[in-house]
Amino acid sequence: MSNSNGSPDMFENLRGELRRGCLIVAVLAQLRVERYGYTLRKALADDGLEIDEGTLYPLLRRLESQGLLVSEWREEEKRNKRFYRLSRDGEEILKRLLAEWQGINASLRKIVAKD
Amino acid sequence: MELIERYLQSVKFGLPKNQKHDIIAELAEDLHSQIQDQEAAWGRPLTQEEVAAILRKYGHPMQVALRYQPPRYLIGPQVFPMYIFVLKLIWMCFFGPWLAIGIALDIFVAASRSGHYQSLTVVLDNFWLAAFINIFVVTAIFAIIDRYQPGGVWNKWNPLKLPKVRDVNRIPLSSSVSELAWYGMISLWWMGAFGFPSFAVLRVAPAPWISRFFFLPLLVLVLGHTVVAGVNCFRPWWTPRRAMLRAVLDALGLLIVGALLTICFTGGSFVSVNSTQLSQTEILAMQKWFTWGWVLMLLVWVEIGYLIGFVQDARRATGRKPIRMCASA
Repeated sequence: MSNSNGSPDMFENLRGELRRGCLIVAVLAQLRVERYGYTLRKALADDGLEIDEGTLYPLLRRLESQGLLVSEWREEEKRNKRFYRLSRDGEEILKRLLAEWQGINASLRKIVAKD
Repeated sequence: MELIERYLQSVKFGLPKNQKHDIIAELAEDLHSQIQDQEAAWGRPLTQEEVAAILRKYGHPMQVALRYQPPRYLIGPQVFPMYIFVLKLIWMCFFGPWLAIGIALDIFVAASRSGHYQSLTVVLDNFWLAAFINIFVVTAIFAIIDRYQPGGVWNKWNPLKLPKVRDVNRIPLSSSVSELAWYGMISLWWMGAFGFPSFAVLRVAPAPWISRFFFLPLLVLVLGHTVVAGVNCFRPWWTPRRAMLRAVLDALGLLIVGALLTICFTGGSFVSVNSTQLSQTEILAMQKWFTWGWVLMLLVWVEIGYLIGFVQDARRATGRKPIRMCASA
């Protein structure tokens, strides 16, 4: 597939870039309530933000290694599950990210409205 | 669910060592949850093909495993542009001329000895080795910079110390002075003010045919360049008239070089060697080596300066901006 203007490949790349940052905010926001991977994915999908497993689980690990999430293994419905929730640092970062996102969103609305 | 076990085993192979168990347990839980939900929705156990479809959607085991690996690169995007710039610089200033000289040696020298390709092979052998070592060393240096000082490289700069905007029509005094000295010296030599170093046993002089046919054209050429360089010292701006004069001189220079090379290819020699102690064979060999030396020098001269100068002067003379040779504002 070529990378000429407007090609599907190019659109997918740009869409990926646009989604990447938003997904982090969405995951952090969803984990204000404790969830394990599968229910987190379903919750995101129910709110209209599909995310595949191959993206979600490495992301959860990265956020945990950065200290934004905490996790623990617990048995539920006779199966061991890893539950994640926002850490104290994560809450602070989420607050700042949401403020940033709202600022960007407001600016974009203004810019797009000019057209 | 043997299929899931087989899948997880393949994923496990590519995972980071210290997280293998943890990641596999989590992936297994996710897969089982998906299958359980699907079975609950359809009211029956999934077939082998339906489980395979879920796994296919999950992705190739190695692809899944690689997502858990930390990003691995030698030179990151911050340092990469500078790395490429340095490699290009090495190529242009070092390997390009090396390759050109290697090919010239093959064409002009090897042909008279053991035949084509043998000396070229030797030159290229050394070339590949030098290229490999250079690229390796530069890559290693940039990898170290990237690892230990990614931000520092770009943060230590002062906008006030940026070079001034270069005017392509301004002639640097250094180049005018060096041209004046160079062409002035050649003019004096050509007019006989001084000659080749001469010894009792060995006298080297330009071949008689050069003096006969090329004395006047070469004199006009070097004197013309001397005058232009002298004027440039005091009026360091290209004007259409001066650029036109330089372009004419450049064209004359290229004609002379072309004529000399043509005569050389047909067996002529640029110098005549006289010696009382050398045999005729040795004298012929010396004449040949002196000639090939001159040919190489002419080729390098034409390659690095003369053609570029001619094109630039022609553009200035016709009122167009010369081509910028390096990026500037």
